[in-house]
Formats: sequence, C-alpha cells, structure tokens
Amino acid sequence: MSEEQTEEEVLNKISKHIRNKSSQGNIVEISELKAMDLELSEEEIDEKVEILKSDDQFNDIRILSGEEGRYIFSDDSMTKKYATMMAKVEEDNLKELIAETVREDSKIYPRPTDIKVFKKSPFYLEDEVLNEVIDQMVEEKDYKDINKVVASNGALYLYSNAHMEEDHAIGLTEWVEVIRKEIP
Amino acid sequence: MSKENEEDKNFMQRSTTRREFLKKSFEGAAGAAVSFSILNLFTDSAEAQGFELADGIVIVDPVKCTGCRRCETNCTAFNDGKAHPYISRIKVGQNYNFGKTGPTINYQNGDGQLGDFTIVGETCRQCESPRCINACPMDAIYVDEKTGARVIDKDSCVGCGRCAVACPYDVPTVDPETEKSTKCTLCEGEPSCAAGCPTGAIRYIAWEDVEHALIEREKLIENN
Amino acid sequence: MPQYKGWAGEILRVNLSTGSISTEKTAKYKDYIGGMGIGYRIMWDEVPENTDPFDEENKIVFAAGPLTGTGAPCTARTNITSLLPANPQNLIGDSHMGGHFSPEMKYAGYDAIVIEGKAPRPVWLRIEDGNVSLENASKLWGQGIFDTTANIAGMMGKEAQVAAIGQAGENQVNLSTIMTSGNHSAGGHGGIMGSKNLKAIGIVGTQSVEYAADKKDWIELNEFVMSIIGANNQHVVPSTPQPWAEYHDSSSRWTAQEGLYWGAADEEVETGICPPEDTNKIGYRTMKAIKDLGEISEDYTVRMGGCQSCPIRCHSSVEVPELEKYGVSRYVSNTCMGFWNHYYVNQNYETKKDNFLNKTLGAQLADDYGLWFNYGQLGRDLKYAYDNGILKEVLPAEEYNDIPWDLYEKGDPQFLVDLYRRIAYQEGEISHLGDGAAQLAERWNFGEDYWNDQTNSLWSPLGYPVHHANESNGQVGSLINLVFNRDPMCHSHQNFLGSGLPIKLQKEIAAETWGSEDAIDVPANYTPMNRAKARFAKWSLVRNVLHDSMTVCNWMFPMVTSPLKERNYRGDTTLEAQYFSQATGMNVSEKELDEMGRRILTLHRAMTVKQMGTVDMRNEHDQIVDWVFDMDPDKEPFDAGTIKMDRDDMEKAKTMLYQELGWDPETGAPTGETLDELGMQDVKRELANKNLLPYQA
Repeated sequence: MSEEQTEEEVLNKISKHIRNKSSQGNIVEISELKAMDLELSEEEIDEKVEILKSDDQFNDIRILSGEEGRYIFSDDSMTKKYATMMAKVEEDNLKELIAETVREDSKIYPRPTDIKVFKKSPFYLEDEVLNEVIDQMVEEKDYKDINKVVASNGALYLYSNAHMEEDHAIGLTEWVEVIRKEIP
Repeated sequence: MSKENEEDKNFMQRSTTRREFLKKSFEGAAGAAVSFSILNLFTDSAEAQGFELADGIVIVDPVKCTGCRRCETNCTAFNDGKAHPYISRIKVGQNYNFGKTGPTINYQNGDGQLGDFTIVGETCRQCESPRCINACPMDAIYVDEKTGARVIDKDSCVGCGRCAVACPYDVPTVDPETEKSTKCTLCEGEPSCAAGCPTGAIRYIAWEDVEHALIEREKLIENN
Repeated sequence: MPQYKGWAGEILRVNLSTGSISTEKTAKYKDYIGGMGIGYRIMWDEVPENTDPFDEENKIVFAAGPLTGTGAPCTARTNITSLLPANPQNLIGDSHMGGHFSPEMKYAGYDAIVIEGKAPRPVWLRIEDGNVSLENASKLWGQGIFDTTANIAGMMGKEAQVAAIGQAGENQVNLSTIMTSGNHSAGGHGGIMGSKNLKAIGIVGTQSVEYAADKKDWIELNEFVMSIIGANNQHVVPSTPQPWAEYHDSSSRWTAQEGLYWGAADEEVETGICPPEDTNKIGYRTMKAIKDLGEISEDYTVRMGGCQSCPIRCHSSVEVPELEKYGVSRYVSNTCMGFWNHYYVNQNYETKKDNFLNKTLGAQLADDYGLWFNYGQLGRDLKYAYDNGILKEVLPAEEYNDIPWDLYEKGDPQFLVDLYRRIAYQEGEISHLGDGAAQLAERWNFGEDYWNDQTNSLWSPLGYPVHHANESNGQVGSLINLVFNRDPMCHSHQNFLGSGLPIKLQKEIAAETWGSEDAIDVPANYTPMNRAKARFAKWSLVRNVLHDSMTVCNWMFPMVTSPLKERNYRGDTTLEAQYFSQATGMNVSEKELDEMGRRILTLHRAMTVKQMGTVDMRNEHDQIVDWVFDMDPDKEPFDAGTIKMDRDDMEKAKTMLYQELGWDPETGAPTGETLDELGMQDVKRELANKNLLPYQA
C-alpha cells in the first residue's frame, strides 16, 4: 500500500467506484478493480474486498460468485436478482440466464416467459443468437424442463414444465400475449 | 431588506413603461439553457443598480411539461394552504388548451393540448429591476433577505392590482378571496413547484449559473 | 356546508325549458359524497321510472366531489349520471371523463351541474364563477367537438374548460360521447345533451377549493402518496429487468426503460430507469404509446399527458403527419380503448403501420364527432354483420353499394372516414351500428351465435361486452361485470391483479386485505367460488363507486401494493379515507368511508330494480351469455389453462356477493333492512309501495 493512502481512503475509493457503477446498472468484476490505478497488488485488492464484505460501514457492498469471476455491487441501488442476471450476461452464460429466468417466471409469478425480454434492456441479444441458443437448449438434458409455447399471433414464449403444466402454459401465453392486450 | 435607499428612489422615479419587446423575446422560451437572449430581459441592469439578485429563478421546460398542473396546487398549498390555480405563481392551466395566445383559426397547429401539445408555463423571473416593485404604490413588494425573491408584504398590500398589470409575464394575481396580490416567493428557497414536478420539467436555476454571464455582459456594455 | 371544506357547497340547477338558473346547497347530499352519489340521488328523487333517455323529463348530472380540484393526486374525474340510451331498457348509468373540467367546475364554485328540460333552440351553458347564462348555440350547432371547444374558449377566454358534444350527440346517436379538452371522453350520454339542445358547457373558475387539513399535513399526505405510487393502474414493477427492482413483468405499464424515448419530442427525452424514490420521474414511468399503438409509435410520441393533478400521465399524445391527408390534424391524443376501438372496427389491415393509422385516425375522427364504441363492441358488431352476410340483407342495395367495402376488406384507414360520418349523422341503415349491441341484434336479427361466440366478447344479454370479467380472477371479475347497466368502468380488481408481483406476495397481500389468500387464484388456473372472493368483488365495486363519487381515479386508487421493497410491496388502502377526512374535516375511517360507498352502490341497485320493475336481479339483470360457460369444450371449469366458468358456481358466487353487500341472497335486490341501515328509509318506502322489496323470511 502506498504511504500516501490510508486504509480508509482506499476502501472509500473502491466502494465509491462500485456504488457509482451500481447506480448506472453495472456490476464490477474484481479484475476491473485490479486494472484500476489503485496502487495495490492483486492480493491486496482481494484483501480489501474481503474487508468491504465484512465491515458494517460498507454493508451495502455485496459480493457475488459467478462461474468465472467475482462480482461486486451496491445493494443501495441494485438488487441481488439484477446483479445475478448481469453476472450471467458478463460471462456470456446465455443458457443459464435464459433457463434461470424461465424457471423463475414459471415458478413465482407464475407466467410463461416472453422471449422478447431478452432482446431488450439490459440483455440486447440479437435475434439470431437468441433463437440459436433456445433451439440448442430445448434439446439439451440440463434444460429438458424448458419448453416452447407459441401464441396465436406467432409470438414465442418459454416455460418450465418443472413448475407449470403445459395446458396452463398454453392458456397463459394466449392470455398474456393476445387476450390481455385486446382488453386494455 | 432594501425597501428604501437612495438608488431605489432614483430608479423608481424613472418612468418605466411596459416593454412589449421584452415580453415577445421571452415567448416560447424553452428550458434550462439560459442564454444571452434571455438575459436581455434584464436590460435595466445597464441603467440602474436595481435590486439584489434573487438566488435563482424558476423556469419550465415546455418539452417536458405534460400539463398535470400539480405545480399550481403545490404552490398554493405551500403559500396559501388551499388549492387555487388562479393565483398560483406558476401558471400552466390558463395556457393548457390553447397556449399563450389562446385559440386562433389555426389552433390545431398552435400551442396547447388542442394544438401541437406544447404546454407553456409562466413563472416569475425575479427580475433584477422588477416592474412590479416599480408599480406598487404602497411599497408592498420587497426583496426577501434569505432568497432574494421579490415578495409581497400582505400587510401593506391593498390589492390595487398595479403589479399584475405591470408584469410583462402576467404572474402576480390579486387573490379575489383575500384581496391581496400574490407572487412567487421561491418557497423559502425550495420551490414547491419544482420539487413536485413529475417530469422534472420545472427547474430552479441558481443565479450563480447566470451570474457569470451577467458579469460578462456588463463588461461588454461598459467597453462599448 | 359551512363547517366542512372540500365541497364547494353549491349545486347549479339549469332548467333548459324555462331558462331558469338557480343553486341549491350541496349539504343535503353529503351522505352521498358527490359525483356518482349526487347523480344517483337526484335521478332517484326526480326522474320517474319509464322515462326514456331522450325525453324532456330525463335529467343529466355532471358531478364532482370534495376531493376534486384539491390537487390531491388523481382527482380530476367528472362523473356524469343519466339514463343510458344504449341500454335496451334505458337503465340508469354513468359515463366518466378525466381532463380538467370538474376541477374548473369546483373553482367556479359548484359541486355539480344538474340539467333538466329541453331548450327550444340550441344553447350552450356559460359559467364564469357566479355568472351563469344560457347562450345561443346556433353557430356552434353542427360543429365538431374540437371547433366547438375553440370557439367557446375564443368567447370566454383561453383558460375556459369545455365539455361538448359533436355531431353524434346532436343527432342523438345512442353510442355518443361528451368530451373535454380534446381527448377525455365520457361514453354513452352525448345524445342526451343533444336531445336537450345543449351543445356544450364552458367554465371559467377563479375561486379556490379549500381543505380542512393544516397545510403541513396535507403536503405530507401528498408526498407520502408520491412515495408509494406506481405506474398506470398502480403497476408496481417495471416492464423490463431494472437494477433497482427485484421483479419485472412485460405486461406492466411501468414501461420506462433505457432506449425508450418520447421520440417526437423537440429535445431528446428518454424515459430511462425510473427508481421509485425519484419522484421527479413519475411522469416518465408510463410510456403508454407503445401499449396503445405498438412499438412503431415511439417515434411519433411527442409526450404523455392526462388529467389535472395526476402525476402518471397515461394519455399518449402523438404527432402523425400522415393523418393530414385524411383531412384531420396530425396531433392526436387518447389512451387505451380510445385507440383500440378503431382496431376493432378495421381488423383486416395488412401492416402494423396501417393498424397504427387506423387507431390514430379513428381516435381523431371519433373524438371530434363524439362517437362512442361500447368498449370496442361496435367494431365487433360490424365484423359479425359483414362476415355473416347480414349487411347485404339489411342494407338497401344502393346504400350497400355506396359503402367502400373494398377498403374495409383491406383495413384501409380511409374506410373509417366514410363509416364514422355515416354513424355520426345517422345516414342510412348502417348507422344503426350506433344503437348499441342489444338493439342492433334485435333490429338486424342476429342469431344466437352472435351472443355465444367467444370472439364476439359480449358479456351481458343487455348488450355490453367483457371488461375485466372472467379473465380477471374468474368469479371476481365476472361478478363485477354483472352489477352495472353498461360495461363496468371498474379497475379496483384489475389493478391489483396486474401489479406484476409474484403470486406468493399477491396472496399474502390479498389475505391482509380481504381475509384470505383464497381471494385470488393463479391466473388461468381458477378455483371454485369462496367467501374471500366475494369480499374482494364487493370491495372492488364499493371502491369503484366511492372513487366515482369523491372523485378519484379508479385506475390509480386503491393503492393496495407499492413498488417499495422496504414496505414489502404493501401500499395503503386507507388513503381514500385519509384524503376524505383531511379535505372535508369530516373524520372517517376506512370502513366508514367504504360504507358510504356501499350506500351509493345500493342506491344504484335500487334504481335499477325500480326501473326494471322486478326484484329478480339474479335472473333478469345479472345474466351472462353462454360462451363464458361453453368455451374450451375439451376442458372443464377450473382446469389449468382455461377461463371457462361453471354455471352453478356462478350462481353461488352471485349469492355470496349479494350477502356481502346486504342484498337479498336469493334475488340480489336491496333489502329493507339494508336500506334502513344505510339511511335510505325513503328509498325503502318507495320500493315497498311499488312491491319491489324482496321477500324476507
């Protein structure tokens, strides 16, 4: 650690960066901190992050372990759910992203998932990419609960049959995509 | 409080007529960017010391204004404890349907909800050399110590309405229920209209942001 | 009412036959609050049954309530009460409009305007505070609503607020509107003004509306509401995943997101991320144009707009240059069915752009003519008649051949220019599309299939369509769709159902509000009727009626939920009672205010009984067409994926609702006991004299 910086100054600098990024909807991968001009070694950064995790003064700073990295966010302006989603986007783990979204939608709301959601903010997936990933997923063992369902206007939805019956998914898809919009 | 001092007396002794060209130059002025053309409103600063500047002025952006008029009832809630758009110091409702000009034959392309949807809200400019102060026969309008807002002393006001006539922006209104005039007080420094605007169309712009430009302009005038 | 605030204290009475203008004190109506309550009380007292809507003896009441004009959020509704021309039995009903009209009425010093009689020549009513006069409308008669409004503002001053009828109302088309401020219309009563030769009402008000509360308390209450308010329909989650939110729902009307703009604004205005604590962004949350008009409309959206005092801004104001070639203004504003009506009329369009033009052109034409569409039903009636060859039979050959059916078959917007003129001017047989569904079905001899086809969307044999019925929590929505004499303008239940929160939270909140988690089902997976659902239905109706009396917007209140995680997404259902108490100085609890709502709803029911001349509401009034029970033939009621209902279960549902409301469990008519309880002894006596009280063991 540089003589000029106290521990507190360093922690404030890091947490400020994280809070700023979170308020803009961005999570911070730990390697990003390592690339910043903090005058700290990689081990020292890991150490500071552990302190942030446990220090009450920074109890809004949360750490998330993804498959490939560690992600940090401030829950003052970002929910854990959103951070988890963004971590998957960071890691380009589209199948997990889609699967987790579909399963959660089918379980907790419950509703089938309009695939258009992945084309908009914050995902912005291209049509081709999205369709290819979905086609792959429905063939794979790990995602065998993920099924397609199509509304009468051709719109594609997905649901998880681990949490929702097929009949229900068909009825709900039609309701959400077509009927509900016609009764504004 | 600078109600009476030598410079003020000198200023008030000058006859000041309503300046149509000022009114026109502000017509339809948009939002936050306070440019020199807007500063031209305050030409009297070249002629007289005028009064201490207000801390800032309230300006409405007609692109973001959606005509909800919450500002009007927020203004009168804070200042008068009732809902009274007629005397609100920010006036939107009167221009809501047909803009500032009112309906013309071509109203469908004019301002307003029955036109091109432009809503023009009028606010008090907290003029450097206020015509309302100049017009008041009772010296009932003074500069608030804290905010610099030009405010009405209700005890002295007799409701003659000369301030309302003198104002180029038609902001002061005599309250028919109290027979006292009303004008923008800047709500003790936190304008209620701006605080409660659902689209952030109303901004309270601090004079520091315009002060620099004013100073520069003064230099220009002096050097010519 | 010297001791109460909120109310203006006076009701304006205008007799068009004699020209007399007078006022009476609002005080005698205070138990009925205002709005719908005043409307029903006056209609009960003064308009005998067997009056027809266009008779001189009919009256029409424009009413506001103690909250109107106070600046409390969402308090600019005008409630209009009269007989309903489009109802085959001319039963009593309301129409409603937002905008800025009723606040102006309050600022002029009136809680209501009661119009009776018929003027010998066209007139308009001019109100400038205490100066009220009937003016010659001969120059205005024949004009559309927009020009009428401009002309009156030209005479009264730019600040005037105007409610007017167009040619449709003048011609006493059953399906016609009264409209204010260019885009806020009340459906169903335009013809009544027409029949009275009353073209418009223009108001300028310079007075205040006072509230009893200390200004500090008042401001605090307003700020509290701003902290828990959601988006349109009190949807409390964003439509896309956003950093601040745990949940999202693509059906949510909280459509603000990155990359979504008011695309035709003069500056760049991005709706963006609007965290709930940012109260200066509430007005961006509901970018409604993409819901009303499709994603294509983003580039045409100038801004959002709406009613006085409301931070939500649910009206889509768009600039569509193409409209000028149809001879109308390029600037059009409306919301929801105000645009969708025209999709229903012209369903054969080929491109999304054509659909967009149909909706915007249709709104522009209809809003100027003052045409109403019976919640989209008119378009479906046209389709049915055309597809089944009925039009060829009932229209004279010359008329049939004169109508541009080639345009209809292509969904060409030009078709609307022709059709709407015919309906507004009652030109020819086709114009009977404007009669209302039940009258039309009889006139053109529609078969049973008209009523029993699910895609036709009819709900009641009285001729009104589905409006958040069985698709909205099964029995709950179904019951709500039974009680009024037109499609219900009730969103109390619909708002909650669409909040966007997960079912577990919804059920918890339902238990807290209506006594049990059983009050709501998982969508499209209904369960049999239960008491909690009856309580939910009762509450929805009572609140709706209360809002139409206060007046408060039923698309925003009641605020059962909120977007705040720190409140565990709970809203506050005591807000209406708090506002009522603070505005008037009459302290009421949530329960007490709801009881006042039940009084008004019961009076509505009593009036319906009186008009129908029977207590048997269950069988004569509260009926549902067959498709609701016969749809999805391969499924049973309560199977997952279907919204078909069960006949016996619905009869049970009706019984439970009647019980909750204190109406006779057998017939659904108000009982003498309930009428006593609600302070309506005079209503009870009159019904008793007419043998219209249900038998009570």
